[in-house]
Amino acid sequence: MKQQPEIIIPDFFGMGQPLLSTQLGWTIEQKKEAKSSVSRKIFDYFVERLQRNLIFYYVKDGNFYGIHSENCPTPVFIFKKDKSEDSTFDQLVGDTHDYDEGEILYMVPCDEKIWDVVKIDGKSLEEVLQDSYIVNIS
Amino acid sequence: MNSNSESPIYLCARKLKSKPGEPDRYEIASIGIYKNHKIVGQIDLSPDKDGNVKPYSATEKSMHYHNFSEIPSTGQGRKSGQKDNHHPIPDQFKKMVDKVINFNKKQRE
Repeated sequence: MKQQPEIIIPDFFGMGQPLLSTQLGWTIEQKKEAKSSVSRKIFDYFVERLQRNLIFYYVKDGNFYGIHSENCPTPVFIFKKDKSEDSTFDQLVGDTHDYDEGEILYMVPCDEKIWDVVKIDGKSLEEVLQDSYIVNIS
Repeated sequence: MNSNSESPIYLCARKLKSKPGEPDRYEIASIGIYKNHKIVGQIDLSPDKDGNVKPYSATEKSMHYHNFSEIPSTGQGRKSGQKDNHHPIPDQFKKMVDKVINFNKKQRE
């Protein structure tokens, strides 16, 4: 019997639209595009090589994180939430270029790898991203 | 116009966030102007969080134009943070910019 996905956060996307366990981590499409199922390689493909900006929601601390990879040094930051919105997803406003309105955690130097530098709550990006909903890669 | 044209205009878009199952949406944020295979200018629309774009203003965040030129150390480009390199949108691009703004609005409907 097929196991039902676990509801991680009810009403995350709006009323009756939960965030499910199957929606955490890299999607199948992202793995296919990066031609890997290894988190570090997928991150390397999108963020380090293509310099695409990344937004993810880390379920363990309830924050939206942004990596504005098109800039170097690269800002890694926590988005300021719009608490007037009901659903968690809609509380994310703006894009990664609004990093100076958020809480900047790192400015990763140009000659260093974001993957190697960034830790959230002492955890590596590999651990963090498997418990995160990838909101956008742009 | 194809990508081998000597004086193309490139529209640079970013992907907007969308819920699972929704179609991807894109917003054009900047426009690269080329002449004789060299980038000579860039239009930045500088939309706010809701996608609204303000007409050019010298004092607040608004759409603007940058001139690009030959920089001996880096090649064709512009230096970041040059306050005197923010200009109104040149007249010949205004119709195109209006169309781009309309396209962006439809993406957010």
